Amino acid sequence: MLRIECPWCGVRNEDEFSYGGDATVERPADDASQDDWYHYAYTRDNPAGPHREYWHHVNGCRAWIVVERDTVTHEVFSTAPASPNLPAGNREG
Amino acid sequence: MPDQNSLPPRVSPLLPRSGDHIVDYSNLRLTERKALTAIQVLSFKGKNEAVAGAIGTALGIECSTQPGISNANEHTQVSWNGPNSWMVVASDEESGRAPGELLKLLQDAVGELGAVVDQSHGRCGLRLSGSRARQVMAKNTAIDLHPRAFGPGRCALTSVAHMNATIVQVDDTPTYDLFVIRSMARSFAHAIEHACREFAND
Amino acid sequence: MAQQFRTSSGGHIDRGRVISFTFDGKSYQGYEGDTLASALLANGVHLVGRSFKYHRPRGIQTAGSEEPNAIVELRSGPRKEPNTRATTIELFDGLVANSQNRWPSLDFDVMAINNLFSPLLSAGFYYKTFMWPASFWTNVYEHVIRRAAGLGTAATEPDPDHYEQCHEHCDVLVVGAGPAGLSAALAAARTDARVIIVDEHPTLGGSLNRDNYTIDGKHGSEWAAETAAELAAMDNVHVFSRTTVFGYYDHNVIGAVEKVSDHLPVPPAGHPRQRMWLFYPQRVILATGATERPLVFGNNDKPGIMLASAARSYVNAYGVKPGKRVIVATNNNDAYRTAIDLHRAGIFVTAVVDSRAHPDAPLADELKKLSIRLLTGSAVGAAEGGKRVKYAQIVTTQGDTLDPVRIDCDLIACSGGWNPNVHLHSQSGAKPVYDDSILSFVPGESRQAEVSAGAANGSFALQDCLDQGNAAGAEGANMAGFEGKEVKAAKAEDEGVYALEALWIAPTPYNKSYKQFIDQQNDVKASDVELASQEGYDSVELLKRYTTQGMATDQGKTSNVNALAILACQRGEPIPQVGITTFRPPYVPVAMGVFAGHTVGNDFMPVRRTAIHDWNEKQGAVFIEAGLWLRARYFPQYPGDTLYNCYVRETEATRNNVALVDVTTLGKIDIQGPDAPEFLNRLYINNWLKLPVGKARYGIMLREDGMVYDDGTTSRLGENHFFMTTTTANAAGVLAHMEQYHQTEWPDLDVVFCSVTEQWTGIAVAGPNSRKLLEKVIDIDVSNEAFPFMAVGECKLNNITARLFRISFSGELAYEVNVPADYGEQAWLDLLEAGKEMGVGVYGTEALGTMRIEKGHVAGSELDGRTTARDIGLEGMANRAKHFIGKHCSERPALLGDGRLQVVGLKSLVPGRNLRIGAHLVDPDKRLGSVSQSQGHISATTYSPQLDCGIALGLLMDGASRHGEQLDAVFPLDDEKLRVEVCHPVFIDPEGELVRA
Repeated sequence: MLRIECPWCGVRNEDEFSYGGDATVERPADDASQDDWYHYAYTRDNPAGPHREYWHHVNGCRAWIVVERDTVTHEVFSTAPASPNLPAGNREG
Repeated sequence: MPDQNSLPPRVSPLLPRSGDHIVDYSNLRLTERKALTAIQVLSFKGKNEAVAGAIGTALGIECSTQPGISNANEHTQVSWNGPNSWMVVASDEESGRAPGELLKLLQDAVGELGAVVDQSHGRCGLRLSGSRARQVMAKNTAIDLHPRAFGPGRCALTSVAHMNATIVQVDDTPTYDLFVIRSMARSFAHAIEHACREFAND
Repeated sequence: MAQQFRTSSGGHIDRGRVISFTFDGKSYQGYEGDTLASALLANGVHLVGRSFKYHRPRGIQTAGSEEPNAIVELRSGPRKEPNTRATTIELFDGLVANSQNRWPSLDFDVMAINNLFSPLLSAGFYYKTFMWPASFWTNVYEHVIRRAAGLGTAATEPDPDHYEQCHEHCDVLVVGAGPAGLSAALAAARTDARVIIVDEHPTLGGSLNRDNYTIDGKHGSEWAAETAAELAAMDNVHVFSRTTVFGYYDHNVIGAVEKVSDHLPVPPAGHPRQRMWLFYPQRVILATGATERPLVFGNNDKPGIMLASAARSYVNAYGVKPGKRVIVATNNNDAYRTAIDLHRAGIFVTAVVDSRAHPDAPLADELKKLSIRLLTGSAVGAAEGGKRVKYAQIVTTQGDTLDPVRIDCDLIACSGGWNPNVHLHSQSGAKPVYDDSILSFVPGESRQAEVSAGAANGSFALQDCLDQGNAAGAEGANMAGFEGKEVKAAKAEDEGVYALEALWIAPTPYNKSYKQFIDQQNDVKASDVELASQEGYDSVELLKRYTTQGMATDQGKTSNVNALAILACQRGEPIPQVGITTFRPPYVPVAMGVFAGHTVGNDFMPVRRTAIHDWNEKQGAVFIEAGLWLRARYFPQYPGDTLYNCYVRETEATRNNVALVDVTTLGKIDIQGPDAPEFLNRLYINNWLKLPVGKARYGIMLREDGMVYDDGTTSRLGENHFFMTTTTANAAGVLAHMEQYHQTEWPDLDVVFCSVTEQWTGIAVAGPNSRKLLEKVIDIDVSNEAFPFMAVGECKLNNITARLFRISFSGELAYEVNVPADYGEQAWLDLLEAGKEMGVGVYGTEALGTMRIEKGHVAGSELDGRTTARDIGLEGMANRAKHFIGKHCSERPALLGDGRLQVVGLKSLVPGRNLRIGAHLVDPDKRLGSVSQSQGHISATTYSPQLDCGIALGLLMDGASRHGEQLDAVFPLDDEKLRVEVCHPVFIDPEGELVRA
């Protein structure tokens, strides 16, 4: 089981979160080509090693976060809010 | 504002029961906090501090922007409820406020700074209290409620008995207020009640 | 005579508490504090089971959880538990146990004939013997194998006991409460760190309770008891006995099982039988000790052959004499303690057989003092006897096997050295490494926040255990942020050094071929390893699977290192080159119930109930699960009333009069903020900027790939305030979807939203008389002029503040009323009361489904993740001048071209026959030979009372342009074929006049 640190709530069990996909993919602009949109919708890398992923603290504060994680060792390097505009948590400790 | 006397009685989402308590042991008590008013406040972009200030001023209770903090007076709790959200919970009976009064108070205070959403009927509140309460909670939630990690004035949004819930610690008996969505109230109360049974004859 | 093998004194048993139990139908007595194994031995019972493959008689080999042989069926009836180890079962009054894997009886087992045919059952025998013909596998082989090679049989009735799961956090977790664990816990606890110490035995102390050590001038068990009491009295320490750590998971999560009530006949009221713990420590100290390994010699599996440490455990801890005439066979110093302890207990130790030419001199002297014969450079080559060992053939280790010495005995206590218990270390992701000085594996580099101490770390001297535990405890606490002043570890009295020499297989007498067992639980012999190696299965992972070595429920705790060493000998390579298999959880077998915990039966998942649930129940409604929700499906009016009768009646009541339905389960989301309209514009394909306040609109959401995700109505309650509804199924998903886009893609949009599903009870009032009904209880003008189709407004229902929506799923004139949920039942009753005089009805999801099909409203069965807005005929709603999710991918050429499955209506042309969901649509009079002939399928069906025929919605290739065609709906599973006519999906009121009336 992974233990993931929510930037607001602290370290919580994996079962409070749902996986939200690859966070390295950028959503194309509205005028981007069909090809760009196709790749955005369908193609993903499957790296063995460090990766950036979206996770949703769905059974907690409902924030989306970016988790830097090693997909082989499961080590979590960092977690950060996905949105720059949500008030940062000044969590104790 | 509705006339209190003309409203029908509020019906609890839990099954009617004979006693006042769902669990009533010498060292453990589980009680429904009936007919609560629960108001969710969400701040608009860049208005978080302002909304917290407005709530605090309106209620005379500090509204913290710090995650996991719950402040209260005798009848009203203001709990952190997410990065830009708070839940204000009060018993109208204890506060002496008329139904709808707290909603109006907060709407007026928050104004255009955020959204004020009535969740009073959408949440079931349970109070678990007693020397065994932390052990009962350990059967239902993975978060650390040890006095070194949690305590009165702290709250957490987490999974309790596999259901989304808010835990607010009220005192160091310990007493916990547990809030769960209305539709799951019976499953939730049953799970907590079941977890208490081991301590029936302590 | 009862318990004739009990010593006159000693042991940690309560001789004042006699306990009666039954084994294989025979009654015996033991004492409180006994295990089933020790009590059986006290009664002279050594034969306790038959082996897995060869059905050889087997006895008790160990005194702990590593036991491979003494596997029994515990209890009976619904509490029956197969494959439990007699060595870990605490004796309780009335205990019933039975031996396994024998028929008709343990003494006379028909399948023991396998022993004679053993050449057929060698390594890989499953793969070789049962290869051909393939049809024999299911018809013949499997039945025979299952009967012959069974373990116990499971209970057939449901388990009456309760299991639960608990969580606890700490700074330092100590696994194992032997000398290293106790001193680690004490050192950590003295820093004020939060400490958990876990041990699988009922009493802390580990080897201190089984051996005669002296610590700080006291007997080791006394020191252990005092230390345990000290720990138990500390506020910052939580002591778990009868608890086994079975799993070391990622991120330092530790799984353990606490046997709360296993030592009792039945669990006390309200108590679980077993409890799973998930521990979340900052640091872990593995003080899991070591397991002795047996010696590999001929017939080394006979009852009466046990580990040397087990023999002295039975004497020291249980006051049981495991034999009267004992040979101690060893390749190391440690087993000498067995000889000495047994001798002191009055047991005749006939010889110590040491494979080393030059054993430790002081130990040899001590034996001499006790007049115990010592044979050096010698080994037990084979044991002989029937259901109990009778004598041993001693050979020299230098290869002189033609002149074996015969020594009579009824017990051979053997020691092949000690293996540190590195299982949890390995589970944590680390790789154990081979240590030549102890001929075994020791912990390697840590991958998680763990450290091993004492015997688990390969350090077998007591003082080392105490010192390492002490240091690890202090260090662990320190790393978790706690400072303490240095305290010296307890002082153990001097003892000899552990020294051993390799003896992986003993030479056999006269070099004869004997069965030399390695893995006794799976009946794997040294010759199987040799054969596997010869046949090319010589990597450790292949060996394991080919021979099943180490794959039994004991996971090869006593056998793995011996097997590796023998494989290494075969390959002519050093052991480290051969490697080690990875240990995986669970360390000991764990009952499935423990993993299920509380969530079984009715508690499997939470149930969601609406405010009208109790009323529905009182009416005798039949419910259907919709996700976690229970929804009323239909309302039988009399015994035997059928689903069909009900939905026809409920539909007619709606279409002809007025009826209520509970629609609380729809997802409801409150959306506010200056950018709320823009947010909706991006979520939905249609336009929201111009929706007037006080109006609702039906909207479609796509996924990024262009497929329809969800639909529902969203109302504008204020300039910047919207109220969205979603389908019941997608309520949670849509909210998460909105949060994702708002937080990851469009954080600049100034909008907030939250679920208000639970706040409101939703009641649809549908039918031509719905307005008439509402006028009686609603305080606003609901006329068509004042409150037209898609109008939204606040109102009062009697005194309850409510929201009113003029929307319709049924296709009739209809309204939806939302009231705060605590008033939901009252509002429902008020509406029923108001409608009483006009004969108001109620309906469930079945009639709801019928009416939505008649009206051609798509739902989950059409929105199956493969349909676009165009496919369902709603592309006209899309505003492609703006940006929205799925816009680009829904414009891909293949989605716009011919050949798409499109929503159509279908009418059964066979009178009296309804259509079937899942039926394929094919050209008339064609059989469905392959899926390629399918032109589509039926997604939803009903009997339409309005049209008086079976109707359906389906997805048909280019269906929108094929109205009027006839096809066959075929259902090959039942060889069914029905002629259908393709039509417009809206069967009734295609102009929508009714809803606007």
